[in-house]
Amino acid sequence: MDLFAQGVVNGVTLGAVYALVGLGFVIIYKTTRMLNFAHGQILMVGAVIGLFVTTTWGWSYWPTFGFVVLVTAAIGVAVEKIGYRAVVDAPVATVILATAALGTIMQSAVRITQGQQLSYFPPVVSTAPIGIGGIFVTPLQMVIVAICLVLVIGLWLLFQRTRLGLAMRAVSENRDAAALVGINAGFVSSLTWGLSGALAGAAGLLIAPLVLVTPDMGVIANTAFVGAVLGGFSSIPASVIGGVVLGVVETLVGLYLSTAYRDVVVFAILIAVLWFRPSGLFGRAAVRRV
Amino acid sequence: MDHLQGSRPLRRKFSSSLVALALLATACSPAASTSPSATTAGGSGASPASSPASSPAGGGTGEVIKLGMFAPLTGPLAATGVPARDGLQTWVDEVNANGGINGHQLELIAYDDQNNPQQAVSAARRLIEQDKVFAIMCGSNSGSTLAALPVITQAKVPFVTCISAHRDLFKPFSPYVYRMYANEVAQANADSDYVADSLKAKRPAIIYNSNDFGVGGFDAMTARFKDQWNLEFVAAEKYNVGDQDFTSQLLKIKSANPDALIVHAFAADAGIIVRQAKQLGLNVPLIGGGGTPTPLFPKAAGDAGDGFVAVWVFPVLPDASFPAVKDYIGKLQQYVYPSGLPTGRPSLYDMTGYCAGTIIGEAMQKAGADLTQTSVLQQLDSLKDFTPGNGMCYPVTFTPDNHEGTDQTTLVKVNANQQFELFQP
Repeated sequence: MDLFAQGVVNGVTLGAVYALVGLGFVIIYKTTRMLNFAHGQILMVGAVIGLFVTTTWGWSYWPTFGFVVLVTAAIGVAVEKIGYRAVVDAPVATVILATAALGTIMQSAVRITQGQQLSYFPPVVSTAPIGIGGIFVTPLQMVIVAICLVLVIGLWLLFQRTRLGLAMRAVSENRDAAALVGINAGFVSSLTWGLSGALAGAAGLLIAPLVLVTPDMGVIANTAFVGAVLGGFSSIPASVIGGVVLGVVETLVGLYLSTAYRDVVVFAILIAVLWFRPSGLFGRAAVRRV
Repeated sequence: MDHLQGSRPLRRKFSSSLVALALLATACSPAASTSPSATTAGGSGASPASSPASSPAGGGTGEVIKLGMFAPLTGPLAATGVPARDGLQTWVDEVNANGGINGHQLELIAYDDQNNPQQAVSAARRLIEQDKVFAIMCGSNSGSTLAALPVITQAKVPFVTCISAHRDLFKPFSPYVYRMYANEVAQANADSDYVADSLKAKRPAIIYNSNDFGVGGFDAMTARFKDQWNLEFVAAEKYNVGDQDFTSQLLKIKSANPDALIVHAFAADAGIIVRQAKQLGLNVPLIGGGGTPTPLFPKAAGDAGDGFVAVWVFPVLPDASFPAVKDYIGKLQQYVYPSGLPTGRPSLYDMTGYCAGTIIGEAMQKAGADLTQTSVLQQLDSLKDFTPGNGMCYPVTFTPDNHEGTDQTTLVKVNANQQFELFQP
């Protein structure tokens, strides 16, 4: 039972990371009905910059955090301008390819300038395990889950309870109509992509101590994307639950079945969900009023 | 960064091929046109038996002997190929500065195989057929080396490997191939012996990479534990390349209650595994396989890496506190990097590259005036307790039917400064 409980605890932490990364996809989708496949690479760039700033310039954690979030927000806006706005009337596949291309460029740029320099990123809070009734939890895990919760609630409030959120939803509903009623659709779009970039940077710094800072660390975004789709791509809470469920399922399958089957099970579940509940396990079917 | 550094040597490779072209041009002049027959004269009846590709380099003094190499010089695995190439180049330049071998100057031709077996095969072909090299040095990572092996064996060109530790390098045995450091089975044995003998572990567990390298090590350790120590792994968990979360595997291992955990992984993965193990409260001695002891490991592991022990195949570490290495660093700087060494250098592949050079050099020296591929192969086969690289590598001994130069290993341990140091249990 301890083993099961420990598996769930670690699965939830892993899932919180997926959720955090997945949110970056979701808010862009909610506002612009687009997918940003450079998201994982923005996350990676954030972690690489964070590592550089702390080790080479000797900055402490919080200034680093602020700096990284600003830089990745700017990258998010840049990706929007180059990868989305320049081809806005093109088919979705074109935008996806354009953003993926930008991501590949970022990855190569990091690899060329930093080489395969891999490093561990010292965490801001301790990673020494604390035993609670036979289950081990690290303060870092708790912080990650807490930050995830705060961001989810904050973003949900932003979308549902603020004028800006209203503008975002309006843009997603009908860009031209939103422009007609005086919403600066371009500004709202840039702002959302910037916000998503900032989220990627924050996530990059948070998960860096769990893994390694490498040019390839952006791959986590692929799994996070699956988690968000699983939960429901058009809803912030649903996508977050999807990420958490995915983390728990992955860990438990690895624990009780085999890690070799982990991806098989995850993608089988994904396909089943797409068949029977295209709007996600917890998402509501999108209703388009015409 | 590897890419940037890679571009410089590429340019050098280019210029050295220009030199080769110039040499070819002079070789076409009547004075040198006798080389194919003249060179076999010294070797009497021995050489004609070998294939046309065997280009004996004897003949007139001053003729340049070409050594060929293929290895990843760009991309993620350039970290193996570039230092090996530089180590060899340092040795070549040093030999040339001291008047060459028996009056022959040496030249190194290095091709980038990008860690791609097909590229490795075509590079080996090009070295043999086009460049007509006297010997091939180092070779690439195991996949590429094994792929190129048949081509080299067929051409009967001496091949002193310096990167691959693969168990199948001599399956089937090739009389033209030599290895200069302990292979992966010897490394796995050393790991198992440390766990069973020094740690007195009764319940060893292992987490290993599901690729060829990981499975090879796991099989070898399983056999060693069973045959030598009558032990079995209480838990054996695989992971896939690219995995970043090892929680499931580590929890399963923890629930099996082991008293030692072998991490048979590449250094970066091992660093994450060690950290996650500590975070799950898995507090048993952690031992690394042959892929772990690189400077990358302590960087990837952070504090959690303290006290990590791993198997090591050299008598020294690649740092200047060892006189032989200090000496090498001076030469590397003098011949290859006059404006300063790149970060992370020298690495262990600097040492293997340089050591491989000294091995073929010793055999060529002993062959004397009768310098043919056949005579050098004979000299290699009778090399006994030769210490390569002035003591940077363990002594090697080859016989006509055993080309594994040594199975000697030692251990290294991560110290409080988060660096590997030599360690005697």
